[in-house]
Order: sequence, then structure tokens, then C-alpha cells
Amino acid sequence: MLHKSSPISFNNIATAIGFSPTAKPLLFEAFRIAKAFGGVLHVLHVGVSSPQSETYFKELFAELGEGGDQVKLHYASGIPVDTILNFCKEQSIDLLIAGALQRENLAKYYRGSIARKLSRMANCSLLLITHPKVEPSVCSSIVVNGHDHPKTADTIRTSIFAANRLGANQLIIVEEISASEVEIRVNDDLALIKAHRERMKIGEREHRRVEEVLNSSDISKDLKIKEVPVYGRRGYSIGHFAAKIHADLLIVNSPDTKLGFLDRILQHDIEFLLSELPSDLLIVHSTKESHGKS
Amino acid sequence: MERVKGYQIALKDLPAGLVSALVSIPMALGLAISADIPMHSGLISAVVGGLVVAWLGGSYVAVSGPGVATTAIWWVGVATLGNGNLVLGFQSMLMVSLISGFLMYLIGYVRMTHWIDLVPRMVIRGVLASMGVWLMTQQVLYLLGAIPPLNLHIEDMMRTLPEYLHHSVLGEIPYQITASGIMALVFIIIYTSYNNRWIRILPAGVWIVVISLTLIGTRPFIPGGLDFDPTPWLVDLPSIWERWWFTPEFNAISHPKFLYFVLTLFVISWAENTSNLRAVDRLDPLGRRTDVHKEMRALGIATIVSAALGGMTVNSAIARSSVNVQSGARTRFSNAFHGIFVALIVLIAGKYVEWIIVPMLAAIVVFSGYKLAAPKQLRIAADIGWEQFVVFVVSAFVGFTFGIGYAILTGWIIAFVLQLIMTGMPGYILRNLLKPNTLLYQESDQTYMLSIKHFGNFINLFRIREKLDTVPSASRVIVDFSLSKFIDGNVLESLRYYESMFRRRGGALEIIGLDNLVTKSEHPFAPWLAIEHIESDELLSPRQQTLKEWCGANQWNFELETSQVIDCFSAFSFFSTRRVDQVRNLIRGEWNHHRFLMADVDYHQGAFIAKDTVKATLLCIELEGQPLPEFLLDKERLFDRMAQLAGIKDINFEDDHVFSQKFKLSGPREKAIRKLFTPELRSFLKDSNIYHVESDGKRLLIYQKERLLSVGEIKDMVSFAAELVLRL
Repeated sequence: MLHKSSPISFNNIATAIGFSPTAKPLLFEAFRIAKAFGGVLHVLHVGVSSPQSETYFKELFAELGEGGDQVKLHYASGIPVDTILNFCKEQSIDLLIAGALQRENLAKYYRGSIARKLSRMANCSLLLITHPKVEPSVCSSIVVNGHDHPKTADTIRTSIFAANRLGANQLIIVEEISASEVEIRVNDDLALIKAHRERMKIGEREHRRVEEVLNSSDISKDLKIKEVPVYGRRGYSIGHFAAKIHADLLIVNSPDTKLGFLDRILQHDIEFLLSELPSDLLIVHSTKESHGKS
Repeated sequence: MERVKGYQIALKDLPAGLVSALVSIPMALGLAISADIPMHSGLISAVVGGLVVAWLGGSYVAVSGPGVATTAIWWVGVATLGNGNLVLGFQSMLMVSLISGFLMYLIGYVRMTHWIDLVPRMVIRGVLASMGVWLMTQQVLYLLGAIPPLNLHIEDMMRTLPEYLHHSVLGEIPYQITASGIMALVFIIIYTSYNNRWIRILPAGVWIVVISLTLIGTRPFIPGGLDFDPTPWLVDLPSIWERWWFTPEFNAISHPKFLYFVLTLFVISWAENTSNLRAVDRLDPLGRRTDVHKEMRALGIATIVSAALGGMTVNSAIARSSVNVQSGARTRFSNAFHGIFVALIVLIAGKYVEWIIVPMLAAIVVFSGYKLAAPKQLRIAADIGWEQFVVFVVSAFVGFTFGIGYAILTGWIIAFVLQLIMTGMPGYILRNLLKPNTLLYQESDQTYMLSIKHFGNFINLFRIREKLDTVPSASRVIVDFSLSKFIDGNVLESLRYYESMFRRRGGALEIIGLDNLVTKSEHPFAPWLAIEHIESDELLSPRQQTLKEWCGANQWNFELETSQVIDCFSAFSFFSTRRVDQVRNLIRGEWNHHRFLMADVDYHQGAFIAKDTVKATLLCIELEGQPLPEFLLDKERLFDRMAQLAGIKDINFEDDHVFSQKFKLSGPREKAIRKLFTPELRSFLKDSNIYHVESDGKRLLIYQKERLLSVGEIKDMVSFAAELVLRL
């Protein structure tokens, strides 16, 4: 079983949908993912139960096909973001799936969309889907961050789990190396040679660290794992890289701090990704227990 | 790489140092005169610059001393800060220079030298042009032999110009003096326009000194002698040791315009240093890199020392550096020797230095000013685009009328606003303005990929530079613009520079992704925009141009776009989940009756909602004769998923482990495939680059990466394909 290698299991998966036309593809995506991950799908409708809504959702779930009747429907009313967050807490949800715009406009960006608020405040992993589709689509390449951080081990393990379950054939572990951080300072040829050596050393070090994580996980034979060091600002570069190689899914650590308004103006880390999603984005929320395990 | 190994190498730099010193002396004197400060302060700057920068600097062959552009700031500063008192003005400017030197050091220390690129090139050029006009107007008076009342404002200068001209025509100034100045100017113009072997024996500045010394030296032998004493028109160095040194005036700090001058001097000095150092890197015969940050620190320290002793700001000087290189300089010792020689010449032969005729020096400065403000600059700006022209003219005008600091500010704002309007996507640029927008990673051993997203302009140019600077010189860099919507001239110009630098050092820099954008001018540095924002005849990008020429040489067909339906790709299983949107840059040709088609194909995955569009260069060959078995061959297992769906297994060769490990080979008819992949074919595949090859029986699909390929990569792929077809 793959479960032993994955400290984060997605047993309870939730998504919130309304009556909008985007609800259907999102539900289908969420259902497929729940099935692949082997979890139970909870669907939350922010609003009150009525006979119309009951039949609407019943019909919708019937369209899902086999297993569609296992989906659990919940109702809750209130301000959408708070309601969803409360729901996640009550039902001990592991993964929340939400639709997201690939790029937000300026006004929305500074006010904050629902997806953005969720990513900032959720206490569970969050999967943002940019283009939900009713038909199944191929998820062939996954990009995951690999920089030196206590949460990274969990994230990589989760990505291997996801890659196995989603049938991806390429997992790229990106190590973001920012120049200032590693003292790569290039001036003339001599310094360049030194910097090159330094880079190799860092690459080697990162490689060993990632290798440790990989060794403790079950990797399916068909999954090709590649490590790529990229040079640039942390948080930004991984998104740029994912866009560059046309990744299907990007998996990153959850932010260390709750982000506020100021972080949107002086962007850093995950804010870069949220302002312009290069692909579907999975933010892995590592719990304290899983820290202890790793 | 060359390191200084002993006195022998240093000795080789001796003659170069001497020649640079001979060029440097008239230049330093001339610049000090145009700044209305004691003549020897230029010499102090040259000596200190030579010694300190050679000691602490990071450049190899650059010569340092007073700079042309900063001189204009000195001149205005002396007049303004002194409130009419020239000595006070001079000492105040020493203080300004001292602090700007400190700022320069800081820039080098925090390694932000490239941030000067935040100021668009056209703004800098406009500002320099206005300074050139200043220098010319002011120095023309000296050139004519007038000794103008000091501390004149520029408008007064312009107004009184005809008056002085009148004086010299009337003969109030000895005509020999006026003639010497005009002759010197004519000589320099001739010198630069004709590449005569005999004239070019000496640099122009040295000729001026030689002629000047000859004129004054032969004076006693002129029958009848001169009817006037030329002393007022000769260089005057202090006779008493103490009068050589001036100290910075600390009280200048309280002057309301003090800070303005500090910042202006600092920015102009910074711009002059960086652009000159980059130019020097191009001159270096050994192709070494200058450590610009270290050099900036050294120039900062040199400026501080020079200011403390009463000397002008120390800058990197391109004209003197190029003389230095031509005279055989190889190491920093040349710069040190240059400083030492200036000092020795002044100490030992000071009497002869005083024989130099000031109007002839003025000719040198006038010419330097002209080079900054040449009308040619206007045409270049207009060629790139009208908005560049506007930026240039506005910066020059504001600089001339209101001051350099205001010019940089106004020019920047106008350049930025015009760019927002021109591109037609202000929201897009503003939104992504503060993002890093650049990404560098190593694609394979020797290939680096620099991807630029959103846009490339003067705002993120320094990031591009910082990234490119970290790439080993001998590697191949591919600059990919396929994610960006707008590239401006500043970036293109810098990339052109890096292109030549990488080539010199045995590497290569290639640009891809410009083909999706269009430009409206043929100038190489004209901006490139996304297609939907502009309507004009498409011009070929450099990549398209090269491809077209290459096709011509091979008698192949090159088409930019096609209206025909290209169905050749869709038959392959690679396109079973991908959909072709557009086909561009088509190359059609044939080898041995096998027709092939290569093109940049835009496609996307999934059926309905377009995910990111992928652009890749693909090659499709129509095979004549016997049909081949269907097969897939690749390394990256990108086909795996499709192959699994079709129930196809990997085919391994027991006797050829290397091949089996390196490649994934699969297809429905295993026997036929085994027969096709003979040991000879396998060894060919093992030895060449890895490509993805797919056969559907009658056609072959070959591609390398899911991205556009550079011209070099395309050539490699085509020669691989030609070889492969021969062996099938």
C-alpha cells in the first residue's frame, strides 16, 4: 500500500459548489481526485436546503457515475469563506478543492478573492484548479518544490503519492536557489569558476537531501523523477518554471505565516503563485504530527 | 585566463602606460579648464585614479581619470555652489565629489552596479547630449582664444558668443592663438575621418601636445619673434608645492542645492562608469570579464582620495582605455603605470607641460562634447521609433535648460508612460512590474535557459544582466521570450552585447520566441510587441532571418505562415491528446526523395478549454518506398502514457544494454521493429543527441524538446534526421 509512505493522507476531501455553471466541472474534477486519492468527497453548499437544491444536487451526483451516491452533501449558511473554513474544521477535512482564476485582475487582487482567502487561512491542504473540466484530462507532469525547509519532506512525499495516484509520468523537483542565499557572486572569470563549483556543491547537497526523502517513499516504476535547480527569487521562480515547462500540477509547501495585505504589495513566496497560477496548484498543509514523523 | 605572474608581464604594460599617460594629460587639463577649476586637479584625478583603481579595481585594461560627462556637472556645480566665488565653488564640489565617491563605493559594495539600467538608455543619451552642447558652447570661447569671464551662466555664454567671435576677428586676440585652436579642431576632425597610417602613429591627443610643444618651443627661433606674450594662453601649473592641494569645503553641505549635485554627479558618474566598463570588456583582446562591482568600489575610493587631495571625480575613461589596449596593455599594471607616468611627467617635465596651448586643449574638449551631442544621435533615436526620439529630445532639452537631475527624472517618467501607451497593455505591465520576471536554469550540461516572462524592458533589464553574468562564458545560453509580450530596445541592445561577449569567449547566446512578436521598425533595437497590439507589416526576427538564409543555401522552402491545412502532424499518437493551433516558420525540403517539413507548431493539450499553448519545433518526414513498422523512440518517457493506453510494451535488446537503458522503444509489431533497429542504427542513435522519434508507418515525427529550438539546435536536428533517414 502506498499509504505508509505518505504522511499526509487525503481521507476527507471537500469542495464547495453553488448553482453556477462552473460548479459542474469542478465537482467532476473533485470527484475524480477523491476517487484517485481514495478519500470521501464532501460537497458543501453555502446556502439553505430546499427541495429544488436537493433535486439539483441529486441529479448532478447521478451524472458522476459509479460512486456518485457516496458523495456527502452538506449545507451551511454564512459568509462563504468563513463557512467553508468552519466546515473544514468540523469535518476534519484534509484537502479542499476550489476553482480559481488563472489570473486575477488588479481590484480583485488587492481585495482578495475567495480562493486567495482560503489559501491564506485554510488549515488543510488546498488544491486550486484553474480549468476544471468534466472530461478526464491527462496529468502527466508535476512540479514540486524541493528547497531546504522542514515542510518540504512532507510535500515531496505528498507529491509522489499524488503522482502515483494521478498516473503522472514525470515529477520534477525544483530547488530554488537565490543568489544572495548561497553567496553565489559572480564578477569575473575566476569568481565564475568558483561560483560554478559552489553551485555544483549546492546542487549535490540539495540532491542528497531530496534523495533521503525519495528513498523513504515508494515510487512507481513508471514515474520519472528529475531534480532541477533553478536560479532566481524563491517563490517566484517555481511558478515561472512550471509555466515554462507547461506543468499540469504544481505542488508547494503551505506558507509559514498567515499573509496579510502588505504581503500582496511586497510580494513574496506564495503570493507570486497566487497572483498568476501557472497550472493547478496544490498547497500541502503539513501538520505538526507529520513534522514529528519526518 | 591571465594572471600577473611577474615583472615581465608588468613590463609589457609599460609602453601602454606611457602612451595612455600622454593622452591622459591633455585630456585631464582640458577637462579641468572646462570645469573652471585649477588645471592640475584633473591631473590629480588621473594620478590617483591610475594608482588606486589599478590597486583595488576589477578591470584589466581600463584607464581611469576625469570623465567627460562628470566634467559638465562639475562646471555647473562650481558656478552654483560657489555663488560667484570660484575657489569656494571648487572646494564645495570637492565635497560633493567626495560624497558621491562614497555612494559609488556603496553601490559596488551592495553589488547593485547593474541597477543603472533602470534608467532607460535614451534618457542617458539625451542627458549626455545636453552636456555635450554645454561643453561645446563653453569651450568654443577658449578655443577661439578668448579668456571668458568665469562663472558665466549657459544663457550668457550663448549670448556673448558672437561678441567673442567678433573680438577674435577684430584681432583683439592674437590671430595666432585663435588659429592654433581652430587648426587643432580641424586636425582632430581630419584625424577621426581618415584612417591614414602616418597620422595614426600617435593618438590625436598626443599629436596636439606635440604640435603645441613644437609651436611654443620654436617660438624663439621665429625671425622677428612674436609680437605678443603667449603666457595667458598656456597651461599654468602651481609653482609652489602648497598651492597644488585644495581641501573639500565641509560647509557646502548646508547649501540648498548640495544634495542635488551629489545625486546628479553620482548618477552620471555611475552611468558613465558602467557603460565604459562594458565597452572596455569588448575591447579586451583576451576576452576577460571585468568585475564591475569591484571596479565601482575602486572608483569610489579613488574619487574619495582624489577629492580629499583636490582632484576631480575619477571615472573609467573609454577613449583612454582604447588607446591603452591598442598600445598593448594586458593587465591592470598599465593603469598604474599610466598614473605614475602622469605624475613623473608633471614633476620632471612640468615646464614643458606648461607649453601646451589652452585653445588646442579646448579643441579636444569641444570634440568630446560633439561626440556626445552628435546630430547622428537624433537619427539613431528616430530610427528605433518615434517614442525613443521623444524621450531623447525631452531629456536633452530638460537637461540643457533645467539641469541634469531633472532631465533624468522627466526622461524616465516620459519613457515609462510612453512605453505603457505604446504597448497598449499598461495594466499588464503595471501588474507584473515588481515581479522578478526572469528565470535561469541549466537545461543540460552546457546549455542554460533564461526564460523571460511578461516583458523585458529597462525595469527588469538589470535582473537579466545579473542572471546572464552568472552563466559560465563557454556555455550556450538560450534566451526564451515565448512567455513575454513585450521586449524593448534596452534589453535587445544588452542582449546584442552579451551575444558578442559569449561568442568571444567560446560560448553562444541565442534568442528564441521573438517570432511570436512583431516590430514596426527595421532597427535591431526597435521594440517587439505581441501581435494583437500592433498592425503593421511583419518584419523578420533575427531567428527567422537566419533560418531563411539557411534554407536558401540548401534550396529549401521557407514560409512564415501557411493557409494550407497541415495534417501531417495529427496522424501521430503524440497529437492524440494535443491539438494544433497554428503552424509557423515552415521549412520544406527533401533529401533523396524523402520530403520533410519542419515548423514551429503551437498546440495545446486537452480538447475544450485551452490550457497553456505550447510552442515547439517539430520535424515531419514523409518516407518514400517500403513502409516502416510503427514505433516510438524516446528517452523521457513522455510517450509512455499514450503507449500504455495502446497496450504497447518497451522493447529491449538483450545484447545491447546501453541502448536499452538510454532509450524507450515501443511499437505494436515487435519483430519488425527488432529487425529495423540493426546494431548499426542503434550505435548511430547512441552516439547522437537524443531526439524523440515516432513512426506511423509512412511518416516520421522528430522533435527534441517541447519548446522552440534555436537556429543551432534546428541545424543539429535536421542533420540528425538526414542521417537517420539514410540508415532506415
